[in-house]
Amino acid sequence: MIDTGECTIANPFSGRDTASRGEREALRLVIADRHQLFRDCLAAFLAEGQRFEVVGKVSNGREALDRLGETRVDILLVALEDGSCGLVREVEARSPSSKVVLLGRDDSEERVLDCLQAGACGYLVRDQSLADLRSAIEAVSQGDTVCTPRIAHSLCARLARLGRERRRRARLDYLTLTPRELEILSLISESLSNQEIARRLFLSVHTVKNHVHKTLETLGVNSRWAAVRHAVERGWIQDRRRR
Amino acid sequence: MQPSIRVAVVSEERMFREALAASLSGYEGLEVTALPGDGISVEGEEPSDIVLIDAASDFQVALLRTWEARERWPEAKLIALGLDREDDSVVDFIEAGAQGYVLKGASPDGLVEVIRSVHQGRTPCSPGVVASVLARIAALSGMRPDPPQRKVEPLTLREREVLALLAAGLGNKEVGRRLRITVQTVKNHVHRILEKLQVHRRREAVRIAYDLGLLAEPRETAVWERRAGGQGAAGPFDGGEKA
Repeated sequence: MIDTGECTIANPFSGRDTASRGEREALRLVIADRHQLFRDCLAAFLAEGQRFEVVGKVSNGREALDRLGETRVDILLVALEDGSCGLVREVEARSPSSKVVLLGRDDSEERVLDCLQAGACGYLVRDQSLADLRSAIEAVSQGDTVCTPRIAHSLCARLARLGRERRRRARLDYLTLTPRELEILSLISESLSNQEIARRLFLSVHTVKNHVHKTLETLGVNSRWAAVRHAVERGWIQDRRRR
Repeated sequence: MQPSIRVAVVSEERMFREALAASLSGYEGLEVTALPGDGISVEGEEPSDIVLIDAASDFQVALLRTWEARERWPEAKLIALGLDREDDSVVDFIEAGAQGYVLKGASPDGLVEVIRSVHQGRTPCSPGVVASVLARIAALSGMRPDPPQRKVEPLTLREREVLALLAAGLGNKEVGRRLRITVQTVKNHVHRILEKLQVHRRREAVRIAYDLGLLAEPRETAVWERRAGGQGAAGPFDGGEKA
């Protein structure tokens, strides 16, 4: 897991990253939450290890934004509210290197997905432990995005919907080939040679070659097997290569 | 007592399927319901809650199996098994419909844990994967123009039949033979279809027809094979006589 202490990270890249930031240089945090006692306690806890420096304790996102103009902020830890999506975009515009981590009550909300898509780097719920929070901030500072498994589930579903649409388009691309070309491609996938295809379809070998040539050109590939692979991947013809 | 989670295992390798099934059936609350060896759908089989897809062998084949599985078990949640590392390949499987993944080094206990959480709508996901999923969502959202909402004059039954055969990749002559009408009549129908859909080429007509829902979507696997009909599947690709 992520080491919150000194620089003992095995990965050479993140190691270099940490070194360049300097071991002494702490991550600068702003905490925004309506509940003063909570944010004071949280700030005290996070400030303990010298890894984090709390440079602002404010009551909402608007005030957190004001802090951005005054000092360098690495991470904004902000309670999820109605305007969170706008806040994320505003932070992005004003201070692109600052990252927003949202803190919510539950993880059933659609707007969390919108915030993440808008560029928020993390979403945690108050059910999680402080250790979770600390390692989440650490991961976010290294460019990753942290969220709860339930949110991850919804994100997967969202990507799957988009993927289905892309897949659908790719499949309909069979329309760029003529029926004859598809038929020949299907025969190639059965390992038939040009001669055999010609005999099967009552065509001259020359005509078959022309069709194959045109197919390769249309698909932008340079071998008949690449063409078969292209077609199989898009679900145009069945995969007979392995059976 | 809660009903068991019904698990299907999809793998090209029989020994892997059976070993996995044997191991999983030792856990309480899991029941292995299907062990299909290939992507060919079986009528009247039990529904599954979770489908495990062997992603350890050929990447493209596994991806194709994921697409097929999503069509075959639309209600089930898919999990990709045996990935090498948490890189873009994980995101490819999520785009194809996977709701979870398990790396190569995982233990049976670890797998069962993932099965249980995915079943409850939680996807255990590393911060790096979450970031990549978001990046992919952003990339795909950008390229998706909404399907055209154009108003078209309704097609006659005959025109729909002709269109379905065009979609299956048939030429005028073949369409005429199947519908027992002359080539000239087919041409007239095609002309009217293009006019009504406000396009110039039959290829565009087919695409628009899919977008507008005038034609049923081609099913996963092998657009081309359906042209021949005979499999008795629903959809536009056997809209004509039965061979």
